[in-house]
Amino acid sequence: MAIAWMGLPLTLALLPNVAAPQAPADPRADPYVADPTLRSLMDWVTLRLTFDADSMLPDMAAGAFEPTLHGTPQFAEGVKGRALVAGGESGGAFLARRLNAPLETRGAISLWLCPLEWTHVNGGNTEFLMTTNFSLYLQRQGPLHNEEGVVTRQEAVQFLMLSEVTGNNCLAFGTEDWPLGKWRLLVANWSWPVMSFSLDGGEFQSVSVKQSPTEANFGDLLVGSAGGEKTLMDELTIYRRPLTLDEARHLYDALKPPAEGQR
Amino acid sequence: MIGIGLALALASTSAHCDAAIPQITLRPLQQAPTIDGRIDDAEWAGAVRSVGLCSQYNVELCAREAILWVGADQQNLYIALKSELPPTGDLLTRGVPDGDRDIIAALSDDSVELVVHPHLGATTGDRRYFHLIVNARGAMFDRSFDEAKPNDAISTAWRLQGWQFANQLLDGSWHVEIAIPFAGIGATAEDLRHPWGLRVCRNWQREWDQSRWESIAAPYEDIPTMPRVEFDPAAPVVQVLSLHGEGKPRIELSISNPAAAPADLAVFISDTWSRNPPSEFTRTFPVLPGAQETVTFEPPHGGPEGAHHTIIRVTRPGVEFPLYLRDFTWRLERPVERWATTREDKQAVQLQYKVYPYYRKLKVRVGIEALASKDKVTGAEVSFARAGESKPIAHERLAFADYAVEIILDTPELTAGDYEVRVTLAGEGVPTEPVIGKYERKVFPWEHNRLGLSDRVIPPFTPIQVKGKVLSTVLREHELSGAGTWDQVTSLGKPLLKGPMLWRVQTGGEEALVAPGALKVESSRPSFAVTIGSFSAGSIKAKVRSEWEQDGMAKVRVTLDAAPGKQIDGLSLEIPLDGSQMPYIHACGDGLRFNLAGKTPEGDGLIWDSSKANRTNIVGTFYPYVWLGGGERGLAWFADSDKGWSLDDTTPTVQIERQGGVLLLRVNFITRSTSLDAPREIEFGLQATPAKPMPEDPVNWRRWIGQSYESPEVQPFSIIGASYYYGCMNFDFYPREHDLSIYEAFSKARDTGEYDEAFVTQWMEGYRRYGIEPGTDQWAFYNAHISAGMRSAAGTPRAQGWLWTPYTNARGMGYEMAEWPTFQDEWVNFPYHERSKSGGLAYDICPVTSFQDAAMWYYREMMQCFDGIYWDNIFMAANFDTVAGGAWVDEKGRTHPSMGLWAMRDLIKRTAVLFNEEGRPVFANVPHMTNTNIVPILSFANINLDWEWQYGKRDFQDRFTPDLTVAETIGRQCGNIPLILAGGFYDEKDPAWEWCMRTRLGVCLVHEIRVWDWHPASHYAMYEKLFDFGYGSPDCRVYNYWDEGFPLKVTGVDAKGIVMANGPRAIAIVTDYSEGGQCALELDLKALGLPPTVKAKDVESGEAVEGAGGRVSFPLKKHDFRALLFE
Repeated sequence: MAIAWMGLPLTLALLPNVAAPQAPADPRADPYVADPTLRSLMDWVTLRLTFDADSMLPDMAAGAFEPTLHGTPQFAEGVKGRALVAGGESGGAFLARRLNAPLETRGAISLWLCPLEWTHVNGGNTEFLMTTNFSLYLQRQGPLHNEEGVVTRQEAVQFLMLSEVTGNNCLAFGTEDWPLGKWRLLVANWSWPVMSFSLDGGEFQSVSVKQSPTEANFGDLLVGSAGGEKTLMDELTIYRRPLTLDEARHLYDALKPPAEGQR
Repeated sequence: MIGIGLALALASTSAHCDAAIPQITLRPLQQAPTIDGRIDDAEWAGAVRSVGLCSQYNVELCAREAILWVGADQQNLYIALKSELPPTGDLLTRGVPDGDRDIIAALSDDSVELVVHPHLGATTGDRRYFHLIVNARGAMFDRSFDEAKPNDAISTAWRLQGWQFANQLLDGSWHVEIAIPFAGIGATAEDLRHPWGLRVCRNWQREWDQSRWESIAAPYEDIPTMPRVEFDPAAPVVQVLSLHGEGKPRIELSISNPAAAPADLAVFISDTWSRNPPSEFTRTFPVLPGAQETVTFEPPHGGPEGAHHTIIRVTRPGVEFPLYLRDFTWRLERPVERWATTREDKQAVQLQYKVYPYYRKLKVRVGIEALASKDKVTGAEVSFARAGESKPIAHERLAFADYAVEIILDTPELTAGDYEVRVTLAGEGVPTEPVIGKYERKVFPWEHNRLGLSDRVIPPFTPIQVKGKVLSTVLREHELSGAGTWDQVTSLGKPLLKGPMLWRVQTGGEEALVAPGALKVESSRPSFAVTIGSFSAGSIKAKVRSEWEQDGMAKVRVTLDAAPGKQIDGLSLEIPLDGSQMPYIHACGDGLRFNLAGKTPEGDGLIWDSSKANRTNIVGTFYPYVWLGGGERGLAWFADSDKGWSLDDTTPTVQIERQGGVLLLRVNFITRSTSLDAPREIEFGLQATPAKPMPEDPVNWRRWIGQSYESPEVQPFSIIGASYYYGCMNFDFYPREHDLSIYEAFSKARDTGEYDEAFVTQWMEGYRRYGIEPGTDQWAFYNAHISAGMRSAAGTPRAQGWLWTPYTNARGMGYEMAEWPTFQDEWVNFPYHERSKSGGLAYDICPVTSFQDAAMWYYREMMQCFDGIYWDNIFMAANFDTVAGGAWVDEKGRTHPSMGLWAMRDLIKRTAVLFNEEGRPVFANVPHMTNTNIVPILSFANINLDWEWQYGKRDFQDRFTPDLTVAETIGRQCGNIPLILAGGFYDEKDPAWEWCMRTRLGVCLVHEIRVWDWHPASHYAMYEKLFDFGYGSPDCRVYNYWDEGFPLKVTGVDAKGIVMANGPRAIAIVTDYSEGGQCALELDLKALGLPPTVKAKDVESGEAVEGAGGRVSFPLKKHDFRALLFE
C-alpha cells in the first residue's frame, strides 16, 4: 500500500511534477542513434512512444499518429526521459493500428516497465498496450487472494492473444518478486502462429496459437490504462519483425538501470 | 562537442580527408522556385547543381544517387535535393511533427540535414549558425550554435520560423525543396557580402548512411570544414549535369551567364582512376550574356576495382573565390544491392515448417504478407535437401493465395544428418536468395520399437469373449446389434440401457427409416476384437466397424458410402440410458479445472447440451467427452476430433434429454446438409464403466497408502514430484546427458536404505558443465532436488514393498533433450513452433506415436530404480498439427484440432503393457488428471491423482461438492485408486492447519480417497484402527453412500457417510457438508447382519455413544467427521 506523505500517497508525491525536458543538445548522443545496433533496429520501427514530451503523441508512427486521449494520462520520470503512468487514475490514448502495428503478420513490441504502486496483494489488471477489440494484450495481471490469503489469480506480466480464430494463448512472467522502482524490459514477438516473450533480454518463451489471425482479428490500439495498480511504462516501440534474442539483450543492456546499490 | 556518430565516422575517413571543401558562387535567382516538392530543372536552372553526395563511411560518392541544387535570392536560401528511392519505392517516415518540439526520431527516418552558417567569419554581432534535420513528414530537429558563446553555444529552443519545405516521391526519387528565409536565420544584406558555410546531407535508412556534399567526414558544427557559398550578382551559374554516361565516365558541366556582360571562365577538371596518373581537362573561354556553354570530359576508366578521384573547378580570372569547386571520389560501377530493403524483403518472407520423420512428411508454410514486393511474387519453389547438397530429396512448386501457401510433401526416409528447407520466390523484383530453414535428423535406438505393444491381457483385465451377439469384457457384457450399435450393455450385472442405441438419419428434410444390417465378428483375440455392423437409410449406406479392447473400450468407425448426387441432412446416435442409474455426469472439454462434474441436471426434456460446456480451443460445436453414471456403473461417449463429421455452427454435438425414466444421450455427427459425393468416415468411442475392478494385488486397494506409512499390511507407495529429483534438466525422459548412473545409485539406495552422499556430491559436479556453480540459486535448486531424490530412494526400500514412482510430463518436454530437434515437430500441439535449443514446454506436447516409442524406451530404463510412471497434465488439449496430431482443415480454412485422447490412452496403455512385459505386474502408474476423469485415457493406469486446485485453508467440504467427488475423484469408474494432492496448506504451526486437515480426513474417509502427501499422525492412527477392524480385507464389506441400498440413514445434518462391516461389527463414518447440527444415524442392522444389541462407541476416543438398535444421535460440528464402531 502507498504510504501517505503530506496528505498524498507517497508514490504520487514522488512523481516529478516538472515540465517535459527539452531534447538533448546533440541528437547523435541518443542511444538509438549512437548505437549501431539500435540504430539499425530503428529501421524496423512502426510505432514508438517515448512519452518524453509528457504526451501521448507518438514520436514515430508509420501510420496515422493523432491520439485520442482516454482519461487523463499522467507522466513521470522514465527509464529514459519521461514515462507514462499506467493504471491508477492515469489514462492512455487510442491510436490507429493500420501501418503502426503489423499485428496480422509479424512483429514485436518492446516496452520498459517499472512497478510504482504494486501491493502484491490484490489489484486489477493494468493494460500497457491492447487492441480495442480485446484480442491482443500486453498487460500486468494484478494479483488476487481470497480471504485466507490464498492466491486465486497469479500476478504476472502477460502477452495475450484472445480470439476465436487464434484461440486463446498467453505467455507470462510472474511479478510476485518485482520490487517497486525497478525497471524491467519486456519484448513480445509474434510470427503467427508463434508468439514469444522475453523479460530483461532473457530467453524467449514461446507458444503457438491454433491458427494465424487475420486483419479482421484486430481493432485499433489502446496505449496505457486507467485501471489496475500504477506502473510506469516507457519507450513503447512496435517493430515490423520479431526481435532476436541478441537484439532483446541489446535493448536491455542499452538502457538497463544500474545494479542495486550502484544508483 | 563532437557527435558520437560523427566521431565514429571520422575514424573511417580514408584517402581524401585532405580533399578541398566544396565552394560555389550563387547568383541571385531571377525567379524563385515554387516550393512544391517537385524539382523542375527549369525552375532550378539558376541554381548551382552538384551530382552525388559523399558517404560518411569512405567519403566516396554514395552508391545511392543524389542531386543537389543550391540557390538564393534576396530573401531566401533555396535548396533542392533529389535522391534515389529504394526498390520498394518508399521512404522511412515515422517521426511525428509536434509543434516546435525537436523530434530526434527524424534522424531515424530518411531525412535531410543542413547546417547553415550565415555569419561565417563574423567576430562581432550575430555569430549564430544553425543545424536542422527534417523528415518527409516535416518532423524537425533544429538547434542554433552561437560562436559568441563558446561555453554555451547550443540552443535547442531555437526554431526556424517561416521556412518552406515540400517534398514528394516522384519517378523513383525523393524530391525535397526548401526555402530558408534570411530573416529566420538572422541573415542581413551585409551577410551576403561574405561566404556562408553550408552543409547539406541526405540521411539514408535501410541501411543507414549519412552522405554529404563535402568529401570530408567532420562534425557538423566544425566550421572550417563547412562547404562555402559565396553570393555574387554577376556570377555565371555552374551546373554539374552528370559524371558518367553509357557505362563510362562522362563529366558534363553546364555554365550559363544570365548577366548583361560576358564572363571569362576557366574550367579545370582532373580525374584520376585508381593509381593511374591524373587525366586533366583545361579550358578557358568566355560565356556571352544570356548564353549557356556545355563542357564535357570523358576520362579513361580502368574497371570496377578502382575509384575515380575528380576535381572540378570553375573560376573567373581575378576572382579568388571559385564559381564551382568540388573535390571528390566516386565509382562508376554501383553495387546492385544498395539498399537493405532487399535483405529486409528476405527477412519478411515467413518460412515455417515441420518435419515428420515417422510420417515421412514435410509441412511448409510460406507467408509473404509482410513482404514489400509481395504483389510481384508469381510463385515459389520449396525444396528439401541435405545441408550442403543442391539436389533436393523433395521439392514442389508453390502458388500463393492471399500471400500465403501451405503444402505437405512426401519425403524419403531421413538418414542422420543436417537438412535444409529452401524456399525461393519467383517474380521480378522479389528477393532471389532462398529463404532457408534448418532441420537436424538424429536417429535414435528407440525409433519404431514395439515396447508395450505385445498382444496380451494384463490383469485385472480378462480376455475379451464373443458369444453370438454378446461381447464380454471384464465386468461388462455388450449385446451388439446388426447396426453396429449396442442393444444393451450390462455392467456389474445390471443393464444400463432402457432400449437399444439407435441411428437417426435425415435425408431430404425428413427422418429416414434406418434398416440395420447383420452383425459380423471380423476377428476376436483375448486382447482385441473387431465387430462389423451396418445400416441403410434410403440411399444412405453405412458400415460400422468397432474395435474392442480388453478394457471394454470400443473405437467405432462409421463409414458412409459415397452416394454421388445424394445429400445427408442429419446423422445422430441416440443412447437411451436408464435414468435411475445415471445420477452423475462428467463432461470434459479441452482443458481442466473447468469441466462439469456433479449431479446430472434435474428436469424433463432437454436438460443439458454441450453448448453449456467449457472449452478452450475447440473449433465449432464439437465436444469430446461425456460420461453419465453412478459411483461405478455408467457409460462414456467420446471422440478425438470431428474429422469427417459435418457440423453446423449452432447445433450442440451432445444433447441429453430426460424422457420419463430414460436419459437420452444424443450425439450429432451431421447437422447440416452434406454431399456424399465421396465416402465419409466418422470416429468415436464408447465405453461402459467400470473399466476394470479396483486393484487387489498385492493387497486390496483400500490398503494402498501414499508416502510414509509402514506396515506389512499395506502397500506403501511414493511419488517424486519432479523430474529434477532424478537428474533431469527439464521435463525430460532421462537424466542429464542420459547419464543413468543416478538410477543405479538410487536403486542401490533402495536396496540398502542408505543415503549415498558421495554420489550426490559427484552428481552435483556435473552441473558445473552448464555454468551452474555452488553458491548460486540454480545450484541450490538442483542440490535440493538431487539430495531429496536420494533421500526418497533410501526411504522407499524395496524390502518393505515400497512402490516408487517418478514424475514425468505427458505434455511437457525440455528443448535440451537430444530428441527435441528431430521430433519436436511431431510432438508439439502447435501448427508450427520455434526451433529453440533452450527452454521447454509444460502443457503443449501430445504423446503421439514417436513420443510413446521414446517414452517406452526410457521408461524401461527407469524401471531399474522405479516402480511406475507418474504423468503430469493428463487432460485433453487441442492439437493443431495436421500431420501427426490428427487436426484437419474445414472448407472455411479453419483448423479443427484433435484432443490427444487416443494418444494419451495409448501412452498409458502401452506403459501398463510394458510393465507386464518386463515382469513387473505390480506398479504404481499415476496419471495426474485433475478434473478430467476420462475413462478411456485412465483405464490402464491404477492410481488417479486429482485436486490440484481449490487450494488454501478452507475446509475441504467447501472446496469440492460430494457430487463432484463421486463423478470425478473416487476412481471407481476407471478401477483406479483415488489419490489427491494435499490441498496447498502445509504450515503445521498455523492455528487453522489441524482443523483443515481434519476436514480433509473426513472427506477422504467417506469417499475412500488417499492423499499423496504426508499425513498428520492422527490420520495414520485412524487408518490403523480401520485396518485393525479389517478395512481392506476380504471379510470386510464396504458400503458407499452413492450406491443403492446404502445401509445408513443420516438425518439432522447434511452429511455423507460410509459403512464398513466385518462379521457382527460395523463402522460408520459421517462427515458434515453443511452447517453441522444434531446428527442422527440409523444403521440397517439387518442388511449388515448385525445383531440389534449392538452398542456404539467413538473410534477415535473409544468413548461410548448413547443409542440402541443401531440408532445413535450426537452433535456434529460443521465439517467435522465422526467414526462410530457398532459391536
